Amino acid sequence: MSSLVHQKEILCVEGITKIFGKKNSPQSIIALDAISFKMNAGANALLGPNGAGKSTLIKILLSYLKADQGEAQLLGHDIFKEGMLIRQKVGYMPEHFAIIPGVNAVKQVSLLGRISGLPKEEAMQRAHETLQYVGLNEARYRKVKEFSTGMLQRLKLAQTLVNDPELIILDEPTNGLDPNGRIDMIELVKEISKEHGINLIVSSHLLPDIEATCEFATIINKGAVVAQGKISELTYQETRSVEKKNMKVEIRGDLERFLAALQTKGIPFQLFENTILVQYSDEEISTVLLKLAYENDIQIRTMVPSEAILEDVFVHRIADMNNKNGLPTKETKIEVSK
Amino acid sequence: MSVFNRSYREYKGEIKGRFFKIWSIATQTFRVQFSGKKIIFLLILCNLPVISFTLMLIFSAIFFPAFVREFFLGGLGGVDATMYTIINFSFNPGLIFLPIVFICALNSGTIANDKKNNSLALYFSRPITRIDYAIGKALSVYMVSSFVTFVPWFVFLVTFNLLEGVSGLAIKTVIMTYLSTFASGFLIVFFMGSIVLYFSSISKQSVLGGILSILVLFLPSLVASLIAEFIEADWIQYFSIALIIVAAVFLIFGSPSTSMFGMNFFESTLSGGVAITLMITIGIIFLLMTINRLYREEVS
Repeated sequence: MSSLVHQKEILCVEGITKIFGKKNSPQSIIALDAISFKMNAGANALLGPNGAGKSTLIKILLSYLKADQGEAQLLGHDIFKEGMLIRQKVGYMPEHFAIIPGVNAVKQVSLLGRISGLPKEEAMQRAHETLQYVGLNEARYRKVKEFSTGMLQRLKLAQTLVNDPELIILDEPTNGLDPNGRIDMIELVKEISKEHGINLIVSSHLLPDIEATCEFATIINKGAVVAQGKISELTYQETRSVEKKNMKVEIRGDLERFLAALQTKGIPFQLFENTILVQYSDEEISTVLLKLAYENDIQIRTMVPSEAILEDVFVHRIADMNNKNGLPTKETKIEVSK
Repeated sequence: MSVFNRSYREYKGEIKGRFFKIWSIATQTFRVQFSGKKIIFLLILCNLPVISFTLMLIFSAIFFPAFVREFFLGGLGGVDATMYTIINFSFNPGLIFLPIVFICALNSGTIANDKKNNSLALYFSRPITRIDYAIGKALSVYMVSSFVTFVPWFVFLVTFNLLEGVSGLAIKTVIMTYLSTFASGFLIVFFMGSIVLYFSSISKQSVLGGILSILVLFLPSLVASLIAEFIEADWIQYFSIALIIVAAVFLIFGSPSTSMFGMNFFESTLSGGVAITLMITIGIIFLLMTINRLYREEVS
């Protein structure tokens, strides 16, 4: 396996299969179906709908679960033989509420530092530093049970950083945060990755957050990879590949009249405040729109084709996979797991 | 680096080993379990016999110095017999519910609270095995439980030795008493603590764990007393937690002469060897069951 991992790869998964329930039984659920992929160093997103197998994969990487088949290396270490070494180098931020009861923030982070092998004084010093870093300086001595959702998210981030990991796995880091808290968390995550060179694997349902923090994305569905690559490349390919594209149009003049003209020509559109989103498949749409504007004495202020976003990639790739498979038995089983 | 500078610092220092991590879990859990005002009240209540003996010793030494020698060494038959008598007072069938309630109440949340608060996801994402976690938690339970066993007993012994002094042949007896006290305390703590630890691991509700462990420690005695109404047999007494503890401690102390002023109050009729074997076996079984349970625990 070692030859499979190059310096710039942090994760190399080969044929990992995980089946819940008895094998070959009709009740069994295939969570991961001989999944194979690699992740580059940097900020990576792990995406997929509910029941896609993201959490199962993370659990396998952290040795919470054993895979039925396959092999994988994380940070150059075999996940089945060197789980301890991996957990020494990895910080994990769980999705759900997770605290150590009866202690304050600094004691919780310091304890997790000591369990990671930091000497007592160093663990305490780093607990103070990381809490300061994530913006919980004022709340260091408060009992963690009294923390709000936003503070708990920051606390979970601080505890992942305390042992200076090479890789951080973040499971829904912006879950339950208000808009300001979300922005702060995204900024923190970006800073951790870009300024301190810590690798990231972020699993989230909030795709705009992923676009803001990650460079690479791996989309999985029904236990298999459906798309992988640089987010910018994936969205570029999506923009080029879709049959019906959108053109953002802003006009000066009689809006009602222009919309009526579009309707008469049979051009589909949607109106968002003053922006008209014109759907097209014909590359000559700009000429058609300019001509319509000229005929109706309307001035076109902006006319730009709208770019695909990660959400488009996500929705289309998963829909493509479902269409190709025609909902076989395995898919029905995974639906049950939701 | 000052904590007031908001920045991230890399760590290139030493990484401590397995025992340090286990000890960190144990001490942190101990601090959490052993905090709160109710602890002081419970501690005084559970240690009433040993507190009474210690106070009696101190007051006697101050006001009636001759009484110390007469009562503790003459009346009870030596420091080892005195210590055994105190343990017997604390764990006799009439008073054993106090240490049982203390041990169960304080330790029932050891693993249950971690399950309730999803702490297992935090612990198990760190470089420790589930056995390390279980040992850390078990050590914490044993440390908490020691406050109703060998910690107060040692306080009494030290007070006794300071007031009475040790000389000549008594040194050997005193050393043996210390060792026996520690062994007895550890045996009781290991036996009861392992049972509580297991029940703490079966549910997210610490109250449920506490109630179940109290029931498990009391029910056999109750059943035995009911059976004893119909069948007359010595082996039924092995169902009584209090009687097997007393039998084990009696053997550990070398079957001291317990004739208090000529009356045989505390001599055990059960086999100490069987009692010790039972306590160690049950303790090990419950500890292994806890580890097994933790390995089957799904972490979310």
